[in-house]
Amino acid sequence: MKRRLFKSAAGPATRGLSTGALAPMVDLFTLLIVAVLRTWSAEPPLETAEGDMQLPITREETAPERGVVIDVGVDGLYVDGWRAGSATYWADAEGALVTDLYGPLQQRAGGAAVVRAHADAPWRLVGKVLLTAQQAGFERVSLVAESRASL
Amino acid sequence: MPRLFRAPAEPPDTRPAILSVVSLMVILLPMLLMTTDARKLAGLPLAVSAPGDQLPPIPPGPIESLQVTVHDGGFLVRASVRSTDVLAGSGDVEVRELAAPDLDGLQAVLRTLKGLDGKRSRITLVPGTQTKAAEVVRWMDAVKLDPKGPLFPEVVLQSPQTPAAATP
Repeated sequence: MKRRLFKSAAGPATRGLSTGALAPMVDLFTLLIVAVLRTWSAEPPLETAEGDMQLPITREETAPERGVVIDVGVDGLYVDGWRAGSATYWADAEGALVTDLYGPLQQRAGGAAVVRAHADAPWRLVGKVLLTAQQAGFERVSLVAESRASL
Repeated sequence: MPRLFRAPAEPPDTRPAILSVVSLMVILLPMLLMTTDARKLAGLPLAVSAPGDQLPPIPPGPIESLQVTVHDGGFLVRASVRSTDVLAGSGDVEVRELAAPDLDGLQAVLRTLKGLDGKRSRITLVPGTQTKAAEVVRWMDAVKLDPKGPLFPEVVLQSPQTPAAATP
């Protein structure tokens, strides 16, 4: 095989960054943009009273309403970030309503109540909290979950 | 003086156009990543039935009440269906109890009931006291929609202290 002693002058294809090299990058950016826009929302990042609260997973994608936020954590119950009662006590307590929550909720009643319950919270507690919010005078009560569309 | 032979024309350089797109992406992506949260939240509207509460009336249909309860690790669907027998008296209701081992089975049962009463949208769920919030949400998802279409989007959850009586 003959060895070429002189290379031909470099053409446009080998000069700097070629179009072929940029195309996958553009594709990647496009995919990233679509993925980010799919999960983007105007809502601020989730901040819960008990740090990193694990929410239930849902296939719904409708954004939660704005309203009074009730957190049902592992340790406590919170209204707009303020601790209102003990989760363990009210999970086992008798009665249909959580009286520790009823007062603070009644003062804010009238619009929407948004309940953010830990994924492992028992229904005997979450149900009482939902019922308390409804009985306190909130017209709309909803449960917040993490959408499957999350990244 | 006209040239008889032209030099071979080079293809147009498209790199500047692509570079501008890349530059735009490089600016947009960090902005989006800084302002967005990886977690997308969703709100599940619901109603909770209290002891003794009467729910708002719904348009009349063949199914008068529809309730799903936890039963032996699976589900039990209890539906009060108006009798269509010509010999039946007015107001006769037949209570049907259908068991489902899992969520897929539950959806199959509910699809059958949806075929009986296509306009009905309300369903009552009675979770067990030990049922976790994550399971209730999965359950709500299952009764609202199946692969064939919407089932019963208006979900009423029965509170733990409520006696398990059928709600309209």
